[in-house]
Amino acid sequence: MRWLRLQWFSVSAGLKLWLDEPLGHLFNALVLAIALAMPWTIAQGLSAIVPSMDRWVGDPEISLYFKPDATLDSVKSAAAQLKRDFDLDSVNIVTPEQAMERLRTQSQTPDLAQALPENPLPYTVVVVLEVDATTDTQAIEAKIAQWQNFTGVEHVQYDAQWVRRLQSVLNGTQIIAMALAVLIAGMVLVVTFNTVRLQLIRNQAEVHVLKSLGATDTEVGRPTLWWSVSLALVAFGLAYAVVSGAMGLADDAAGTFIREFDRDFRFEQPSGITALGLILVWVVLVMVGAWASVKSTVLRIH
Amino acid sequence: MIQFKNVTLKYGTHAALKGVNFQLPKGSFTLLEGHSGAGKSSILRLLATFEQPSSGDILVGKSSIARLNRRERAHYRRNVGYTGMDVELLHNRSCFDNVALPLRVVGLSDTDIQSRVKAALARVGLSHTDRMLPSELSGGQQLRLQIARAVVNRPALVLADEPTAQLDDESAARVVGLLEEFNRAGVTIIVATHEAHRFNRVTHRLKLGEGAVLPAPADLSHNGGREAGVQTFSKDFLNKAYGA
Repeated sequence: MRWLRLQWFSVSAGLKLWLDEPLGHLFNALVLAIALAMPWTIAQGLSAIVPSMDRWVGDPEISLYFKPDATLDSVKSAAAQLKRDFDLDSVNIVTPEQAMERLRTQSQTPDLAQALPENPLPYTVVVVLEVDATTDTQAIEAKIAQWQNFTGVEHVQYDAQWVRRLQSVLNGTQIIAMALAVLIAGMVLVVTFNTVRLQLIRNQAEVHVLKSLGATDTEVGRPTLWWSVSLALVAFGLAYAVVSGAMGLADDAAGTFIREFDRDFRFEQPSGITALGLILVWVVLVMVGAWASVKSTVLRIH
Repeated sequence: MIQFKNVTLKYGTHAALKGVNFQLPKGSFTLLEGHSGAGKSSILRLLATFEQPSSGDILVGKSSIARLNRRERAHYRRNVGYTGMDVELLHNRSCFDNVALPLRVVGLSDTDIQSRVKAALARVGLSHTDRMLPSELSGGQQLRLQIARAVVNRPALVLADEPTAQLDDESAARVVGLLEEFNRAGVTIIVATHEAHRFNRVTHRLKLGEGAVLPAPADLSHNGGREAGVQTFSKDFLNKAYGA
């Protein structure tokens, strides 16, 4: 009971700090909110742009063109071996007839297909690779060199540059996301440390009196810790409003244009799960900054 | 029992106390006398653990308060009431909240806090001020409020630094009366003062000069200390020596 009473006293004393200087504390919350909202907005924007780029670019295809005299059986056998050896989910066999039909229906020059006396197109095996930031492009190229030696294979077509470019984009966004996370953490720790330090210095008369009356350093600092939690929650609310607003505006402005190329594109509001996860990390970060500040500042107030 | 054993307190190169020895029994009422800078407040600050001795030892009961860690020091302070310039009133809190602070620190229930703060305020004649801010009170009333805060936690030891300074005779008499009343109830009281004549219920006096306890005249002193070099003063001695 005593422990609960002490905690309740700390919580209420922490919340009462808002009454001492509401506008000043609101500005403190605003500073924290900006520190959170800036990288959060960028990360939220990237979370919409990256999948869209991925959809737009598509996964790279590798086409194995067989010699004109290759039979369907030899192609099927090569396809089965491919699937087995390289652990592929699926390989797609395109017959010369299917290839000609595509040429007729999807090509810009259907007349060319009509003009051909006979079907010159070979059997083709099409493999779709799933590329992400960790894909080893050198390993892919080594595989392709092996495929080149398959019986009946005349040519393997693979756009290595395209894959590398896509991979560097994915790598880049991953690095940006990590840099943003580190930036958020660093800014939050510094801003919170300083805000709490100033708050304690402003209240040093009270800190001094409490210590003189027998409060331990932990007990003296506890209201400030609770105040910092409330500050973090207010700042998070403000940042959430900023990010939601920014995503809404961006979707109205840029989203309409981007949807010309990608129908599924949306600058979305932060999801509930994202917000919940972020709020936990955010509060913990603020508390760490506040705790470090309380530890060092309370020690110096005699 | 309170015992100072060869206590020295230095601020940089200046020694505020130089090898001070004395002991005071539980329940005593002691006056620390001497001119400004003699070391009176330093003794109170050491007993309140606001300072730590540069050398020597201070025993309160059987514990050495010179060697307490921060947490132990905080818990020790809960048993000490202090009034003086070192522990000001909080002027943004009501008189009630100021007096309630020591009880909040120890986590008493709201019901207990209500009853004990009201009793403490009544005891110092400030029942009507509970919702007022300290800045609305006179100097004498603020001092009584400090006393209420110092005793609300029922401490075993009360330290008062110049409790009657700048008070008119009536207010000073009231403050002295309060301290004597607590002493009658068994609380050990140590007062640093320039105005010894205001106090009647004194059991011990320590006269300080230049950071040391001045020796009492040989024909009047009564060395009741159990250890060599420890000076105590009987009431008879004090009456003869200082006419108290």
